[in-house]
Amino acid sequence: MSAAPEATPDAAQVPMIEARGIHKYFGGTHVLRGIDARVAHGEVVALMGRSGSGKSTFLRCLNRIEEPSEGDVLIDGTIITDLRTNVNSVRADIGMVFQDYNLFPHMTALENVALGLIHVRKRPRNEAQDLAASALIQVGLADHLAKHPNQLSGGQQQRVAIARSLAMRPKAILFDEPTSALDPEMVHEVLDVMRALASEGMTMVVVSHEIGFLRKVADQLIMFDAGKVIERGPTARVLDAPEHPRTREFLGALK
Amino acid sequence: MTGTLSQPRPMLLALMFFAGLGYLLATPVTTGAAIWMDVAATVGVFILFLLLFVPLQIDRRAPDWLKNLSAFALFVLLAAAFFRWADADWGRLGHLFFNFEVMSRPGVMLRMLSGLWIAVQVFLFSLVLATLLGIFMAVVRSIVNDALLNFFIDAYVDVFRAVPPIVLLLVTYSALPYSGIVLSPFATGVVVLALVEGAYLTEVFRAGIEAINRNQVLSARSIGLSAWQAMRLVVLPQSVRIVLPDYSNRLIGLMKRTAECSVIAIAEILKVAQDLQSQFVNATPLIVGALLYMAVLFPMTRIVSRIERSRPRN
Ligand SMILES: Nc1ncnc2c1ncn2[C@@H]1O[C@H](COP(=O)(O)OP(=O)(O)O)[C@@H](O)[C@H]1O
Ligand SMILES: [Mg+2]
Repeated sequence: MSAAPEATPDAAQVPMIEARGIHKYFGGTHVLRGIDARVAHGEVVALMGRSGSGKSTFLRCLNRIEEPSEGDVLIDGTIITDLRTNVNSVRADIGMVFQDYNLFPHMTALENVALGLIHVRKRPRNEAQDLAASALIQVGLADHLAKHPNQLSGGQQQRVAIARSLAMRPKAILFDEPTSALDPEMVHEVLDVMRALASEGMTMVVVSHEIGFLRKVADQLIMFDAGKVIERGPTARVLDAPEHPRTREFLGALK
Repeated sequence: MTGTLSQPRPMLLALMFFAGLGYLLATPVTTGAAIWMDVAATVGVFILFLLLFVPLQIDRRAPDWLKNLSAFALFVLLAAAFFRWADADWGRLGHLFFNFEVMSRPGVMLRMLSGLWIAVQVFLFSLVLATLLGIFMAVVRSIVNDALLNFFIDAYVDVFRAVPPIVLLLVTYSALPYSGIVLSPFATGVVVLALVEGAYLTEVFRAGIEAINRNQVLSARSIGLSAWQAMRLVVLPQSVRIVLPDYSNRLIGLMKRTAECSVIAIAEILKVAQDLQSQFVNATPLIVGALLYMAVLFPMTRIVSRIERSRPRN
């Protein structure tokens, strides 16, 4: 049932992100049991599955914040799961947005966004601050540049986190349940930013259970269960006509 | 009844204080059978004073200066009672411990003050070394996190916390001449105190680093910062606020521990005071030494308790 990777428009091209047979063990527990995935340039891929099924671990293997125990990750055709790879420059090229924002509380919004530009991209400080400011304006936070995270709402903090990734001009951004920690009335402001990014052609991998949002934005949906992919396909097809009983069960429970 | 008792009455308290003080100072100690009357009267002074004193202290509206003043009054009364009842040779004690004539001899105060300066130098040098050592050990332990390295760092921390610094000072000082290492007493004292303090500070800084959520490091690394950059730019700046109360508390201990350097002939406050004491057969230099320590430590403790009150919650 889990067919070969979907024929996306760019199938002939090198995918932006490719995972080949990823396994991950934590001590004795086998958390990822051979995951393959291809994310084309400009594609939005959604990951769904019950809690503990390995979505976050997989996402973290893609920028090697977690080291895969087996398997390879390729970014734009280059193997990054290689001892000689400079992981720092790989990570600088792949943004990551966490469920609980993880902003740096001792810095203003602007400093949060400028940090990577200054210390990783080695931009001069004032140039970095200009770039950071424009990233924050892009996510609608023009009035909050000088505020610290504790002066911002959850939705605003999450948008700062997105701007922090965005400012690095990444090849792709990984989102790990970006709206799960938010109050319901703030969810849309974050989803709106993500939708705008998608429409501008940003490559994105999104762990999310916001069905309505995914239906509009995600090209491909991958269902995780117990460390394996149990179903994958175009988002509307998987949502409307799930083939695997577990997918049906999971989607039924969401409604 | 309780209502009238719990009323603060500052005027009556003042009256009671002067009456009590007058009694304690003016009348000589009775001997013989009437001594019981005298004991009862002394106890009575304190009971009456406290009956007026307590309501004032617990009253929330009473101004602080009034509370402090009345606390001082109680202290004066206690002192007066002590002097009245203690069977001591006050003249001799005064001569030995509060002898201005000894202190005003040429060069004496100068030697005491140079002792203070040396103590402060020992404190500052060992503080800087210990801080660098502690941060280095804690950071390396967190970033490199290698089992063997951790073992050595933990061993260092455990050993240096398990030996009294004064013993370490004496052992090092006596062993050095045979080791071929030439170190002045001052340098020896600084190095030993820094090693001991560095062990404690390693633990202080380690706790500060570990108090920062692991996700902060993940978040920093996901931007592309190296482990060292994440430590320097993200973790340590947040640890500072957490560590500051414990760190500043250790400062006070370190300043006090400079006195232990007297055993290896560093001419700091205590050594100078002891030398002067045997030279003049008079203990006044020790009292002056204590005052010098207080002059440094009072402001320090004040600042530290202010820092403690600003300890970040959570
Ligand atoms: N650092 C870790 N150490 C040990 N086990 C972990 C660690 N991180 C995740 N796990 C385990 O791996 C499994 C998958 O977790 P995760 O990837 O977070 O799932 P999901 O994001 O789908 O909820 C869970 O059983 C979790 O307990
Ligand atoms: Mg997760």
